[in-house]
Amino acid sequence: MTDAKRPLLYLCLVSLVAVLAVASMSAGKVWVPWSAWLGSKGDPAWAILFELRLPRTLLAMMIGAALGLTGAALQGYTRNPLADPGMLGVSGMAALGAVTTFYMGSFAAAVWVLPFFAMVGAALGVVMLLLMAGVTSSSITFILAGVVIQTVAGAGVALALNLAPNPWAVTEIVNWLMGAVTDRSFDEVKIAAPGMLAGCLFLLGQGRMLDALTLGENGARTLGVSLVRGRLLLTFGVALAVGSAVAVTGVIGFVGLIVPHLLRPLVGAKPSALLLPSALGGAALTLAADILVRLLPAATEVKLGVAMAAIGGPFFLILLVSMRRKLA
Amino acid sequence: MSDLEANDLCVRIAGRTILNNVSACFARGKVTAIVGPNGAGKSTLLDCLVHLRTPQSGRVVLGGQDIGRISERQRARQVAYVPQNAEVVWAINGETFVGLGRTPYVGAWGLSRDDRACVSAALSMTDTEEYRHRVISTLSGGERARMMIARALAGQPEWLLADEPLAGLDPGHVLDMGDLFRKLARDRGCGIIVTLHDLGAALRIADRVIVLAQGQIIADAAPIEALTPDVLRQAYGIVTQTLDGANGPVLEVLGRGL
Repeated sequence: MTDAKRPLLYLCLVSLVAVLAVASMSAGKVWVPWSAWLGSKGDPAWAILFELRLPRTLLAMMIGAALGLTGAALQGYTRNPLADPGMLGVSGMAALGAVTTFYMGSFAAAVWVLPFFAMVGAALGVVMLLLMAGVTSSSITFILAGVVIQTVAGAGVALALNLAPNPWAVTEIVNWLMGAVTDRSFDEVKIAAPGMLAGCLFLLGQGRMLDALTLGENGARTLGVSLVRGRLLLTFGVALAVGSAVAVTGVIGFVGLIVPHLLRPLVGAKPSALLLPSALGGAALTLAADILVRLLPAATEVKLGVAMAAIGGPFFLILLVSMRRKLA
Repeated sequence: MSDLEANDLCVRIAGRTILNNVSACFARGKVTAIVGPNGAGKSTLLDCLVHLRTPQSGRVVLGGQDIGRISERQRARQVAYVPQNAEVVWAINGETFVGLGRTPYVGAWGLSRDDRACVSAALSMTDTEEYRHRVISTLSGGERARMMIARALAGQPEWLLADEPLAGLDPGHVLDMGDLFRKLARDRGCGIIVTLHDLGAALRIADRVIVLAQGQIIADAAPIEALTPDVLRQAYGIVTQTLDGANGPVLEVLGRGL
């Protein structure tokens, strides 16, 4: 893509996010009419709009952006189009931290307990990662260490389910793991926003390193890029962004994998050019999926994480097949 | 003070001695060719000179300063490196690829207008403007080799170190590349250090030839004085003679020595 077209793409993506955000405010079991936007505070429609739908919409946008951006950054860093935000084990450890609170039954004590433990889990994951792989090892070692941590965290979650004190704890854990932005308040937004914002800024600053890595690690080093500092910043960025996202919404997969793929044909293969569009694309996709789960005529609302995988999977496959056909 | 020096470099990899007390001082404005048989340590020497590898003993000094003490960015601005068989991961086009050579200069906001001018200049110097919009992976080996040089030149380095830059080039472009190296050295005072397998090209292009064999320097002089039959027999186990050609001396390989 030429540089002249880039502002146009940003404009399209920003308008898409804006339209979907407005739709997300209005759509659901109760359709909120336009008049309620200017209503008074005591009005039930106003309450739905600003106390239920607004935090939900904000959260969907935030986690979508964080996951899309993280996916693009990690695909660039690992030079592997299959990388996703779960890759470094951070999301697994965050989930394990959250699950621990369900297991102990302490999650209900206060609104911050679960996110706090999830963030502790994410931080622990980063410490493990840096202890296992260090900052100077090859990126293969680094990724393998991440995969190991993700596996261990998955085993920990399974163990918590296995040893759960009662069936309610199991249900709580399973429900939470599926990932959703339902019934969230501004408390969750306040808890997640600082970490996500800081993490995203860290990641957006890595464009120069990601581009240089197109020439491999030695290539990047001879171009004057410090891979040690880059890896540290990337790790903290991923931990803050994904850790905060998992802490308030559970595990929502696929966004980070699929969005960079969708946008790569539009922005070109240069990793830095993919970062910001992936954040916007992630926000749009997550908003769209969240609107969809609200409108599905099911007795129990389908979880966002589930819907994302169910729709995203086949969609992604079709995309890949059609792209292949174009290349062949 | 802007010399690049290798002082008593020793490198061992997996128990094998690759470089054994190698010392050489390089001056800017000259083309130096490093020749030697496969496994002689040519690429390892280049790796040390660009600080991709830290020798077990000895040190590399750039402009009077230990190369490890110069900041990454500063070092990359001074020294450009073109490896052999460089990997290019994503399907980026020629312009973006050559633009990566500006990495030591760019900030968070991408290439400036000056950066783009450097990219265009590098493309025209290496006669690769036609590959500006081609995806790198679709270029042939020789075309890609020229793009690698363009990428290095985009950074306007004081030193250009290239591992086998002539491998895969057709005879016409071998001549062009040789002329380009000489011009960069003469006009811009660029210090050029290349490893070569083509002894004839070394004779033509270089101001100075270093012959490396089994991790040691066995000759270091002007081309015609370094590439003598004795030295080449010792280095490669081949029999050669130097003839007077129309454009200076020509090296003829007669066969394997007994």
